Amino acid sequence: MTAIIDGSSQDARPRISGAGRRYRDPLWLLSLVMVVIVGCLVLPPFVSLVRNSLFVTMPDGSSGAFTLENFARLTENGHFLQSTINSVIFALLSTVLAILMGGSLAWIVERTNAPFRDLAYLMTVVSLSIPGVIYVPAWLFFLGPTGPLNDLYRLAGGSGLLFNVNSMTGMVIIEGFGWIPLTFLLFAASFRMANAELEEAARMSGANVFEMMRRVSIPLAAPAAFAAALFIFIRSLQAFDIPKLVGTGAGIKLLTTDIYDSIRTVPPQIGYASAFSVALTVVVAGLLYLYSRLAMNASRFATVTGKGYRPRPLALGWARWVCGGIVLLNVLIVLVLPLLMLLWVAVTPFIRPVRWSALSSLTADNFALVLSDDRYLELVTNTLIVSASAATVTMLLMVICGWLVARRRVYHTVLDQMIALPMLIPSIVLSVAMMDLALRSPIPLYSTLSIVVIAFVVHYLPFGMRYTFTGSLQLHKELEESAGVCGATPLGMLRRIVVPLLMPSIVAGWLFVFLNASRDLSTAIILAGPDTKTIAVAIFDQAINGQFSEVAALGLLWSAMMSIVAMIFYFLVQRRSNGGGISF
Amino acid sequence: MNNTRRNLLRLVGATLALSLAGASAFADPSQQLVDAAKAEGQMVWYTGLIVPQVVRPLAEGFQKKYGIEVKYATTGDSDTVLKLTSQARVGKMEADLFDTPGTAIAPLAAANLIEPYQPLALADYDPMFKPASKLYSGIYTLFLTTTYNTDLVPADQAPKTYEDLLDPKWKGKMVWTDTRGVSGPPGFIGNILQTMGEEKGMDYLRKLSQQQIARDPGSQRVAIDKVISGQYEIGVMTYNHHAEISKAKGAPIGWVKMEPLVANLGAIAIVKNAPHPNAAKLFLEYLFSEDGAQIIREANYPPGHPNVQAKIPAISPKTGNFKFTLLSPEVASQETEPLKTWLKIYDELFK
Repeated sequence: MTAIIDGSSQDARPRISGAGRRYRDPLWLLSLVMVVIVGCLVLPPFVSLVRNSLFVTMPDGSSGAFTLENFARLTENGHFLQSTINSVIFALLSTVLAILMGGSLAWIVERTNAPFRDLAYLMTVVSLSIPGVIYVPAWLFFLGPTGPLNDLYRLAGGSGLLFNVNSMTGMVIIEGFGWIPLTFLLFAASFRMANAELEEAARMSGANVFEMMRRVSIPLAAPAAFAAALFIFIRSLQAFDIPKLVGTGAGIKLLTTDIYDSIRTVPPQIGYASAFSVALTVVVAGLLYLYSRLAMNASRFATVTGKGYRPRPLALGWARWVCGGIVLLNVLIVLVLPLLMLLWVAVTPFIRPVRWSALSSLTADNFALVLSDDRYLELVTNTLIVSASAATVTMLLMVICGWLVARRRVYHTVLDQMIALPMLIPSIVLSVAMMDLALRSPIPLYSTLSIVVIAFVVHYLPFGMRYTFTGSLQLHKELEESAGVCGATPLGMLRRIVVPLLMPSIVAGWLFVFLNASRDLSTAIILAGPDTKTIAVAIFDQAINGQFSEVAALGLLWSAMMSIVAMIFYFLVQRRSNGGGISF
Repeated sequence: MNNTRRNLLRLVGATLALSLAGASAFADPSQQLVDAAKAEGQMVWYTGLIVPQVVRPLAEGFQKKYGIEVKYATTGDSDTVLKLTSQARVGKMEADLFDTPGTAIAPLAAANLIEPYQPLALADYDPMFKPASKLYSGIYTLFLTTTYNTDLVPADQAPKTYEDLLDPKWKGKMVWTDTRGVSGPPGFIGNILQTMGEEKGMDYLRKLSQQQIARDPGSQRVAIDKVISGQYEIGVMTYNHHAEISKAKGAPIGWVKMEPLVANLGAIAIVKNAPHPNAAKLFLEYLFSEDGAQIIREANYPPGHPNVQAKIPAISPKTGNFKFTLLSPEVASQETEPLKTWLKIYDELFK
């Protein structure tokens, strides 16, 4: 791996050792401020998580006696070993699937001249705006016994089922597909900045495309890939909706299967879910430690140096059509199939298999029902305010933290670890902790939009960090050093060198948080007050009271609107930056 | 069986009383209550009811009649419990009223967060809508029964009795939800044990467990949709009003009066230390008046008001003529008996 890296062994990173012991990082104050801010955001919910796991919850919601029962329950279901194995297989395969699809898509889009590349960003924006509450059922219907896949198979003369969605394969497919957009974005950010000279050098030295990928492109992307993989692995390990919704029919038990039930009990038994998260934190802490060892020599991966880095796309021959095919396949899987499925459901008066004979009964009633409701203006405004604020605050904090951690400035370890914590806090635990915080706060926060924003910021810190950290890793220090030589203050350097160069990552992260916050149901429902309703409330109302076709219609209209909003934002940003650098 | 008979007797009693008293027997709320409520000016309602069809028409109707603003927040049942307990701990109550499919009553009663109140407007309602504890008032009853896909199963071959469900030809072709409450399999189990008795009931359940009923993790609506789409032939513990709504749209779905049906009560209650208690009480008077019952009816739920018939007569026991077992909010708590035992039986036999 080291063989391919340009000469960046010169490491100007301040070392706190030997003669440098009394050296004080010029950015210590900034680091300290960041530690305090992140600590205030992340630690209260984490403390509630640990408290919930270790104390009995009383009927009035307060904490009672100390107990280890929640932890005991994790292991006592009798199938503990089997559940653990299932969970690991599920998370591992979902991660591999997401990375294979999303990673290859990112490389094609950013580094080659394959056709249809522009579709990939469109696909990502639109898919990130589809609420999960309709996305999973869309796949379940598509792959289900009466869905088009098995229908086609029977039409072709087969009998029974071609594919049983209620299986480990079905679970992995739905979970893995769901992660493609995020994987794509994370990888795209790093491939975009990859130094094309290295790939060109490989080609000139006689390597073919595959050899070049194996020995240059893939190793270069390794740190970003590992970070992304770990991230998706942890999220999949914690997922309980897909294992429950898809796996129940097959009787497949994962570690999280029972948690789904326990947090849906009235009142929710948060202790059990919390204990699982605490146990997972310990396991993940080990993994993160391994990762931090790996990322230690981060500057070896720097590819954006002071020498000019505008990457050139690789000219592929006939292979560009293969790559174009892979782009189309991704678009088909991530977007076209689920959207067509949802559209079918939304225009049929009741759920039925896809048939020519059903065409005569198609109706726009479900859409008319949604559009005739005049309360949406308030909901849409609130949602846009909340999501945009959450995305802005998250990225503001994370651009500084991501850079501080990538540069291993003072307190970087504690900062990095604190920012990773929310990844392990189930959203219901986070929401309850935030509710408590808001109620106890001397400033009136309860039932305000501010508390929803704060909850989203905490929830999406690790996501924002992935963008800015990966981006910073690839900025070579020499740019910052030359700014220093020219007399820039550290803050001036951040503002004038780091932020502009990181802009693509920042914008991508902003959009990611914005779109995800706007479709988040659980946090928004618990924290919304009578005057602070967001679109989540309407979707939830339909989902518990209405028919799926109405939910599908509302969800589709919402996705369409958010896609347009995101697209407008993207064009505005691109114009402001004079078309330079930002492709998302 | 006893429960069912009692319910039927109550129904008959209520109907008789009504026909004797005529339609004018409903008490108007006292001027004192109206004045106190108006002084409060507004109220806050945590609701899981459907907003466009029920919540908003009620809020608008109430505001028009009394000039009091109704603010509402959509919450699920568990969110309601989390919110109310958190608010109570800090002493900052926001909500005045909450509704629930039943499950939230017991935990909130245990946390002493319900203000007992019985609206005057309930005077002529069936007793099942107004429990002696006054902890809640019933808004409507919903009925769970067996449904079938009419394309796949001719009406004369559809199962009519609980015994019919044991027919081997339904093996692997039935679905119910994995709901861990009285509106799911545990409620079915409770109904069987109450109707057939402990011994015969358990015997029946053991046989039924051989039928491999699919457990769907979604709602009753999702389960019935899977019967409509033909994925399963028979839906167990599905709502009869869902079947009627879909049937009206042309869906191939029918329901049978598998007696006694399971009845669930949608309940509403006033929060202890509510900031606007009088407005909340007045709102309940309005909800249970004939005006309020009309709104419930228009949303396709069978109202409890003796003067207001269900929009689809077949779904109500009065007009549809069927027996049922009411599984009231008192038995709907997962942490207390009898539901705890029913859940245990479900986990042992059907999972």
